[in-house]
Amino acid sequence: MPAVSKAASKAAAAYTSFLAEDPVAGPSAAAIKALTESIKGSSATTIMGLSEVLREAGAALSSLRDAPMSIASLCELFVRFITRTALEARDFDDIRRLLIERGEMLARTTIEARSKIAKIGAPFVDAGGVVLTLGYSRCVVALLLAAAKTKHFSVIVAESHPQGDGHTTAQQLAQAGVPVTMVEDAAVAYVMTRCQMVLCGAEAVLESGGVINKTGTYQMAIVAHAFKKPFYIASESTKFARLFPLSQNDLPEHESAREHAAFVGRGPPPPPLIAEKPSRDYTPPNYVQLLFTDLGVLTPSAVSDELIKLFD
Amino acid sequence: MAPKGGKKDDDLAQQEVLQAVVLADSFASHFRPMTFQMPKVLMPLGSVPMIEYTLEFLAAGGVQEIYIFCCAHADEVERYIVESDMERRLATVSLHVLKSQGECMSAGDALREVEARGVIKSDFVLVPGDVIANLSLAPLIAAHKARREVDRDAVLTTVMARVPASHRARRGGEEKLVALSGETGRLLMYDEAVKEGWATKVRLPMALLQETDRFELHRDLYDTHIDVCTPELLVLLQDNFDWQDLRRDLLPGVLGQFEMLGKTIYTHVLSTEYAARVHDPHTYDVVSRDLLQRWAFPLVPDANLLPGCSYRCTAHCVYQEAGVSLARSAAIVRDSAIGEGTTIGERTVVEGSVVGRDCVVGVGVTLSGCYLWGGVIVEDGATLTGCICGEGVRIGLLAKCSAGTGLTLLGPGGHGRLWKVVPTAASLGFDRPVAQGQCDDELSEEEDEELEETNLEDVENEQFATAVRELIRDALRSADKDDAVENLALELNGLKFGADRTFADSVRAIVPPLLAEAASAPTKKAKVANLKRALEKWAPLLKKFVQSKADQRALVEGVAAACEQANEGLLEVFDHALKLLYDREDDLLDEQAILKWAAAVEEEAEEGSLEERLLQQADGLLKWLRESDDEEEDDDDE
Amino acid sequence: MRKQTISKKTSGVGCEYVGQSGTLGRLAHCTPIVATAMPAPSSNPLADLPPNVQQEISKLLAKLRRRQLLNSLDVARKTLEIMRLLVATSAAAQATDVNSLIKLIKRAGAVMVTAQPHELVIGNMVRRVLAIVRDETRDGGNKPFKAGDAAAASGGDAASGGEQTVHVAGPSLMSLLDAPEALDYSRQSLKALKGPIIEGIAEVMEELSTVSAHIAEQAIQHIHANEVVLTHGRDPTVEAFLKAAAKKRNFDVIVAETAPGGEGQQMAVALAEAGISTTLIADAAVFAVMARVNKVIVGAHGVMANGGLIAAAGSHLLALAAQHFSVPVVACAGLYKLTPLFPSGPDSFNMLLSPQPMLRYDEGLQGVHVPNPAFDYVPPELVALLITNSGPSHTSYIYRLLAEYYHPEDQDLSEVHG
Repeated sequence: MPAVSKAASKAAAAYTSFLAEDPVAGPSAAAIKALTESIKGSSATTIMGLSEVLREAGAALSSLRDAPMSIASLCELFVRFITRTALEARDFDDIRRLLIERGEMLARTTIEARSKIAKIGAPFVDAGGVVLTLGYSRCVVALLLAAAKTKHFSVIVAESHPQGDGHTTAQQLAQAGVPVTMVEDAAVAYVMTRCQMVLCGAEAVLESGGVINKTGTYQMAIVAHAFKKPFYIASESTKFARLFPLSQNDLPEHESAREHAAFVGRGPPPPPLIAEKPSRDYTPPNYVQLLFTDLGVLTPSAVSDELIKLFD
Repeated sequence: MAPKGGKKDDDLAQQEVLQAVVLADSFASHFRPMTFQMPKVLMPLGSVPMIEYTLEFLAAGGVQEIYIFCCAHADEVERYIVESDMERRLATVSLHVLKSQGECMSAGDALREVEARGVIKSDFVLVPGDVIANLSLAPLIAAHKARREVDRDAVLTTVMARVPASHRARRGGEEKLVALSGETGRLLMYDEAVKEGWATKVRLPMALLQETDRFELHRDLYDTHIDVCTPELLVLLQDNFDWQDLRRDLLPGVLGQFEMLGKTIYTHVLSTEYAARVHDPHTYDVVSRDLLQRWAFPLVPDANLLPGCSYRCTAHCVYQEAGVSLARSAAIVRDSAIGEGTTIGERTVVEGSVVGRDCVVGVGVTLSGCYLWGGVIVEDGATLTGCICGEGVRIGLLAKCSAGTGLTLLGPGGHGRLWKVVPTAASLGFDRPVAQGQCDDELSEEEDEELEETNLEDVENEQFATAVRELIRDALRSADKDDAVENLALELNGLKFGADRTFADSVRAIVPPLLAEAASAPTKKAKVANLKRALEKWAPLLKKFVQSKADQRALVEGVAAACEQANEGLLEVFDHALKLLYDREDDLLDEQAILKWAAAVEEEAEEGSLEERLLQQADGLLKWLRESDDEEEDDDDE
Repeated sequence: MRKQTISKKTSGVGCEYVGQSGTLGRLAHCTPIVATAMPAPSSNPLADLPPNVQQEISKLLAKLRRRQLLNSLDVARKTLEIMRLLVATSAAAQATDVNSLIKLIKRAGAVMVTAQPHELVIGNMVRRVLAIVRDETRDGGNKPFKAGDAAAASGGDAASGGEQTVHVAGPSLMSLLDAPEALDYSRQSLKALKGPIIEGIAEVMEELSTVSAHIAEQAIQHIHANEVVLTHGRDPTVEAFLKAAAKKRNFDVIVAETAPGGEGQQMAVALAEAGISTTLIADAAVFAVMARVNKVIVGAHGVMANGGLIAAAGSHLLALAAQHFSVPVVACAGLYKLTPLFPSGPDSFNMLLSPQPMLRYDEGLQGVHVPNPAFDYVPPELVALLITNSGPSHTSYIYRLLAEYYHPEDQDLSEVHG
């Protein structure tokens, strides 16, 4: 038992160090590398053993603070892969070698995935148009920077208080010469008429075709729908998760470590006041027009098809 | 008998082939100095050489063989057609380039050469190489053929578009008066002269009036220069070898000599289709705008006729190729096209302009109605309105170029051939070509005064006048022969064509030598007698050259010049001369012309000048003319 | 011979005009300041293709450019003929392996699509042919996947090494962890595959000829007795659809006139001649009559990858009015109109026609812009049902149809690998 928890903590440590080493690559790539490391370092001799190792490492990573939701789907992917290769590989060593090899390859392709997404999504930005976005997503920024190479447009960023991820987006875009307007999250409906499209990233893309993303995304999607503006999501395919929430309550539990924005400088909430700070919300698929992924441009219904093919 | 039968079929098949002749030389000088270096038909219109539009229009109309007749810059035209793979791109026609072998000075000469080559087998379409049209030829040709069945003498069907004179496409002051037969569309009259005001009378030959029951007089027709011709027309041109220009000579010739020749011309009037010809800078501007506004659809810039072009149409008829670098605050307002590789700087406004490839437009520039052909550099702050800039022109900092302004304004560091378009009614084209030296020879604001220019027109006039004078002197020596007048007329005509002068110029040159002899008589009475005799003899000659009101003005001016030249010998008989001319039965001189001349002199002439004195001399005559005019009016009122 | 000097400026080279009889000055010598302004003609982009194919492509493009070929079905058929000719004569272009054939087809396709970007069926047919080529190579040549992958690819059917039931094309989640696709097209010889490829093309042409009939035979399932159907424009598929239904059912048709082209008027006449009770209304009256309409039936110029339609101008208005009154909008389009491209930006795939039908040239209004778009974009959520020759489907199902007929590597025809 101590060996297991040791492996799990090693995975967590590996993740943190990979993330620190290459923040540009993002948490997904770091997670993949960490999982690959855990396979490398494991002493399992059976397929079940490997699957266990992966599951535990995945659980450890997921329990980290502010760990992305994609880790769970990544683990699922690895586990599925084991099952499939087990059917034709000759022996265990072969599977293990294959897994490690493919894991490293996946880490590489995850970084390439972002430029693929940028290339696919850039034509959807209108010249002279205004794009509205929320918070910080590496895919979204990559897409907008790719579009800025060939056309002039401007961006409105909703700040995503209190973490203020929007500032990172604004900074990176401004450096590339794109005019950026920063607004508070409450002003999204106010600026919506000016925009031609809304583009957000995703922490997880779900089987229904909906997405889970930072709180505020659902709100933005509803306002976009009311104003008949297209709402697009840019996300890598490693974030596809096998979840089917029917409402906001069905989201996996996640306690954010951040401060409650409403109580900044006011001390703890006095009873009987209840303070909720959901870190994520679920956007149903009927609000999403298209998803830009490294598998191509997908409609929400196509996403579920992809997931079915994988997990059937 | 299979081979014979086959041959018959071949002949029949040959007759079915629709041919077209494209005149790739306009035989005019509107686009000088550009046309000194390149053929006009290869000038870009919306970044595509004009001849592409013409050939595409013909190919789309079902023409199968096109003969492109080249005169000036023939090699370049041929090279372009071969290198740009035009035949493959057009896909349904075979192209043949005919290069002029002799001295070809007009469309008439060109067609005579085409006839001599023997390539035309049946009715053919004749267009100049600068026509943009989207009309379908099939119904036009079918109608032409049907008419030929009914009227064997139809030699020509011209195509005209209904464009009212007030439309921007028509230049103010240039009116055409066209008379058509109401039922058949037969052309009865075609009067092309530039009018300076409205004539009060229009002369219609009776013979033509008798040909029709319903008669339409049009002021709103615009000549597209698209013709469907018959081989008989070519024969006519061979016979009348002095017919040079198709509209100034051929049409009036056929119409005027209807009794003798018996040939008829028909007109097809377009209502919903577009056709236009680019024959001078004004029409270049107009047709460019029409092209950009998609009137000639499917001939539009984003049809990308040339391979490698990638124009896309965006809002307000703005066309852009891939690879254009537009600054964020640059505004392309409307009706414009920007070519690949062009950079446009901040705060620049482009409106109604075509910017070619690889141009560099600086910051804060205003381009309005400009045509920049490839590789043009416009530096910061320049304002260009209504200019055509050829390849590689550089417009300097803060330059202001616009139609009708002086030539100083290329700005420091600017160079290139500067050529202004003056879009007023009176002067067509430009006055003085300004040819500058090489690249290092820049025109800046200080230097322009040094340019000595010789007015080309004056020099030519001078030489023409001399030639005429000599001719007449020779003729006067052998003036006793019967057909002296005819001979002289013929020779003068030849000289007129050779020197490309108008009738008015000819009259001005002819009159002084004719009257010069009279000046040598001692007394006034003798002078008058001499004048009378001279005019009796030579008036028929003058009649041949005085065809219009402008010519009558020239006649008066000629008499005035005669007085001037003969050491004022004729001064005292000036009014007699005028009266003699006026009194003639054949209406050689109208009172209008005399009065107009007088009015002009009153306004412009200086004190004590010859013209003043002539005016005084003719005072009595003028008064009498004016009174009789008033009397006539009073009579009408009663 | 006369000589005249234009400029007496001493520095620099003056220009001399030598006129023979003084009329047209012909330039004797004048070193030009710049090169002549003749545009350099671009090289032939079709140079690699066999000459008879080049000729056919030029002919097709010329016809399209001159608006002499307006029916999408004919364009599709012509494109397939060109592709068939290209495959048959590919030896003339030194194409002996599959990869070079794919390059040739892509080149021909790219040229045609660039010349006529709004004629979507051209790109569709080229991509169909490419998919056929890839499929035949896969089936006829070496197996691309490793043995194990093949088993996985057939989705648990355990039909290894045999036919593939699922057309798995391109990247998918499943293949994310797999090695990159091992099919090397440049090692596949073309000889044995030519026949099957040409047969495949013939099958598609066969399918084209039955499109209208297959759509029309579904008509009675969708149009019921005494219904009021609203339509506009003149789409031959819709016309056949309505006429087929009219043979068995009695219903009324309201046609919107589709100004300024007036195609609706022609449609009304055609339907009336077929004995259908027809009403012709102005486009502005669509909202007013919509309350009485049971269904709206429109044709499409193209069906985009998100399920949206490119249809005759005015279709979006029709669909919005229908949505307001909860009237279902049914689109009839053959599968050959299915495009793997997404509509990006306004006016993508639209074509502006001449202003002539709206404003005559001699009415000459300065400064008034008169756009006359030929097409409209109808978003997928406004379309209730899409009737194709393979049956009815929902617009959200389009991605499935796309995956069946096209290969993702062929999305961008100008992108050539290897």
